[in-house]
Amino acid sequence: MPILEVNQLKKTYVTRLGSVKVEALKNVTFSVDEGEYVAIMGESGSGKTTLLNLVATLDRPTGGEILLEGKSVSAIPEKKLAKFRRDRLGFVFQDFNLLDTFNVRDNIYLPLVLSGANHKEMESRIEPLAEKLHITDILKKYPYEISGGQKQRAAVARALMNRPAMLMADEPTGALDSKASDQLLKLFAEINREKQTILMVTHSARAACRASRVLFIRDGEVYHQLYRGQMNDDELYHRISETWTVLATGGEEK
Amino acid sequence: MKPSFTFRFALSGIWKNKQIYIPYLLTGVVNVSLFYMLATLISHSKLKEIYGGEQVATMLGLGAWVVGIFSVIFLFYSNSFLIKRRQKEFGLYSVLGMGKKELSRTLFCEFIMTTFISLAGGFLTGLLLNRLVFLLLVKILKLKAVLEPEFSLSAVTLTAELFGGIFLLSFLVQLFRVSISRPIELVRGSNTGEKEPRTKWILTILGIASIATGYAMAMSQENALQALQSFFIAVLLVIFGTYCLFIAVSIAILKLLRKKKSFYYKPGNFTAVSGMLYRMKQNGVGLASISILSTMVLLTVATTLSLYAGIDDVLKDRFPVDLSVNAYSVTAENEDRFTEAIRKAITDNGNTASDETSYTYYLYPASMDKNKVEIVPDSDLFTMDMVQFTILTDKEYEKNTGESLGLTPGQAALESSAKFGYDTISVGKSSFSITKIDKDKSLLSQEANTITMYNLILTESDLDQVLAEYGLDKNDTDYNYKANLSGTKEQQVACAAALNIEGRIVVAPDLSASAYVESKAGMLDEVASIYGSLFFIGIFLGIVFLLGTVLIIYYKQISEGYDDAARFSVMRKVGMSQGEIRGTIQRQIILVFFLPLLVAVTHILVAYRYMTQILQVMGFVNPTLFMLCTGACLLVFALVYGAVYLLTAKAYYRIVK
Repeated sequence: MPILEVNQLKKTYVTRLGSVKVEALKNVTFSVDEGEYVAIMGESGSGKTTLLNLVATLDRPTGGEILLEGKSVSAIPEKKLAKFRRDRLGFVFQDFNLLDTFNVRDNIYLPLVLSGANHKEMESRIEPLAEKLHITDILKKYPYEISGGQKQRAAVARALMNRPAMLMADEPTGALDSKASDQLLKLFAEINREKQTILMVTHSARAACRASRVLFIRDGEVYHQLYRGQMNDDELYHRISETWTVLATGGEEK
Repeated sequence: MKPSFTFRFALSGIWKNKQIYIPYLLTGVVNVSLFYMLATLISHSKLKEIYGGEQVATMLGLGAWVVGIFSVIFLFYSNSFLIKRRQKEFGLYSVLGMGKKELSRTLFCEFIMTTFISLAGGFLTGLLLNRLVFLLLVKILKLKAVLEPEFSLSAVTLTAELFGGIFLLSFLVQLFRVSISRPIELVRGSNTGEKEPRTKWILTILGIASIATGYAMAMSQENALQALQSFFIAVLLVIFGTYCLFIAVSIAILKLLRKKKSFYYKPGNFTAVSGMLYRMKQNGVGLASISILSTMVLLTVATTLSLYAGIDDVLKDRFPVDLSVNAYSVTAENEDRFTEAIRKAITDNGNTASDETSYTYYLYPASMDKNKVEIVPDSDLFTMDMVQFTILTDKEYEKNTGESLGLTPGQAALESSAKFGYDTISVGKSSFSITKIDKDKSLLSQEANTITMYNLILTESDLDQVLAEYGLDKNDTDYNYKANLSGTKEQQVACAAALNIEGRIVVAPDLSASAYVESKAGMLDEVASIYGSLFFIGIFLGIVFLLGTVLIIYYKQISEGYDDAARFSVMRKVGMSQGEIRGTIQRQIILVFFLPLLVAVTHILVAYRYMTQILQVMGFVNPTLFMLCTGACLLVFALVYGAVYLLTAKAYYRIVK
């Protein structure tokens, strides 16, 4: 059963004076099965972040629908959206989005605290998670005291604290060096092996080649998709690169 | 860069930062106009000619300087805020290839414009309001003469010099800041990671201790003179304590709250406690300043208003009759000659006297232990632990009041300004049983209330005994005359003037004594001019302080808005709803906003007793009126404060959104 279904999704932005319309998403349809690891690739301005924001319920679509666990997201009233977000979804961002006013532990607690969870429950959840993400030592530190890789791992821990139906990542390696990127991607693969569904937006082939499926978006439409099948990471990486080149040089095939 | 371009560039620089610039210019305009109006009043040619005008001018001058000093403080504060906020903009210009020379030129152009707008706006406002202010002064000082506003060039130059200087200095500070900075730092601006505030235990303890001491001092004052002496120490303690309260104590409390997990990990508390922790670090000094300023505004206006509104009470209490003459070291047998001389002065000036009293008495400093009095005859000065001890004979008392006390040797009558709970009183070695005298049958006036007074009425033989014990000369007495007068105010004043010849009363070439002559009518003008100008300055300072408070609050809100906008966007992504965010924001703003007001109100409530005692020194003894005035000031202040809250909260929401 697909955990996420996106049907003919459309999003049009209107400039403030209402004169110019920008079509960020024209017609996007795809689905993500439970336990799948899907990467969405596209160049800057292709609409991939818009897509993620819509799925994340941070924005409302102009047309089409999004079904999460079989339920239409647009049917959720505005008031319950925040609760839905923090209960069912987990987010990892390019610029980490950790709050400087909290130490790492409190940053990770944030979604659960907002849900009104008991602090003993939080403590019992953070321990194995911190262990797995190798951040046990830095739980007491503040975001400005730790490295980018550590920050992103803390952000992953925060995203996983509520045991989300789907982990969503927006360019998670965008601000990391290659070593930290590799570590993070290994972690994602590991988490995915434990049946965690992941939806990741990226324009790095290096990042996308770890996924089980890669979607290519161009000009607001799904342009192509690649299944891993029996390929290993390197083979998938080559296929992605080829597709990417075609995409970038402006091939018209579909 | 072409001059015209520099000009346009500077103009757009101001316009783009109007959110910060408008309050800055407004502060400039208001402070310039206030200072200018005060300066115009002081330099008015007719002011010194009116009765008490010299005093009024001196006090207004003092007030003008206080206004000037606070203008410097507030404008500098705004300027530093302006620089901080615009650092990024300047950095961007540098990166885009604008040299420091061009930047300095632009800043200079901006400086000329701000100075021009502030001065021109201030003078214009001042000129428009001048008539109103003159009317207000005349009304408040209860002047008969009408002061016509006149244009004073010296006031204009003084104001222009002062504020031109302030703006010039601000410009130089800007220039300095830009010149020492490197472009890349300017672009990064305030985006460096903020360290978590540490608990400063020493300051926390010092702060609590100094506020507690200050409060204890304020609440334990028994008499006015003591209060006056300790007042400034208490004020300093409380000011220091208030700063510690906001800088250290608040952080200590918040950290303790954070340690309590069951409290801290709750949706509302979680963000509020951590947010406040950082806010307190950034704004502790600002918030403490706001609450001290608020306290100052309230106390200044409340006390000056009470004094002013209570002039009649003050006079009634201080001057029970129209004319009072005290002559010192008079020989007892000359009493009648003094009385005759005074009566002559009264009739010579067209008055007739009624309710006359005159008597001789003995006045000594004394120390008092329970009901034991020790006269200290050699002491000329009253110190705090001393009382004013007056003795007169029953004959003098009966002569003037017509009341018979029926005292026999060993008996005494007593009236006192403090409670006296004993049946006997001993003076030196003699002891007397006492009967108390009703207040309305009291002969001796309760003049100054700064020192505790005991008035003892003895039989002549007992008096002799007491004086002999201390070796005091019975002939060396003081003399008092009181009467109500029938003449006009001018006649009464003239009579008092005739009696007072350089501090002496002269009966005949061979008979004179140092004397103190008080005319109620004369005092009315003097007291009205003192209290009136105090109140007048109180209004001006009130405006300046209030404006400063508003300015600090506004800038705080804006700078916090920019910081918080980033935080709240993260929280939203992590799963906080708009409603929850709004709730958190509201709670934070209200806390940050009303905490200083709360502290100010607490300070004032605690200082209440203190203030009544200090007002007492100034002759004001109407606690109810003071309470009313304080209440009214609090209400008005809270309303203005609330209005500012609504305004700045709006600006804040706009930024956070």
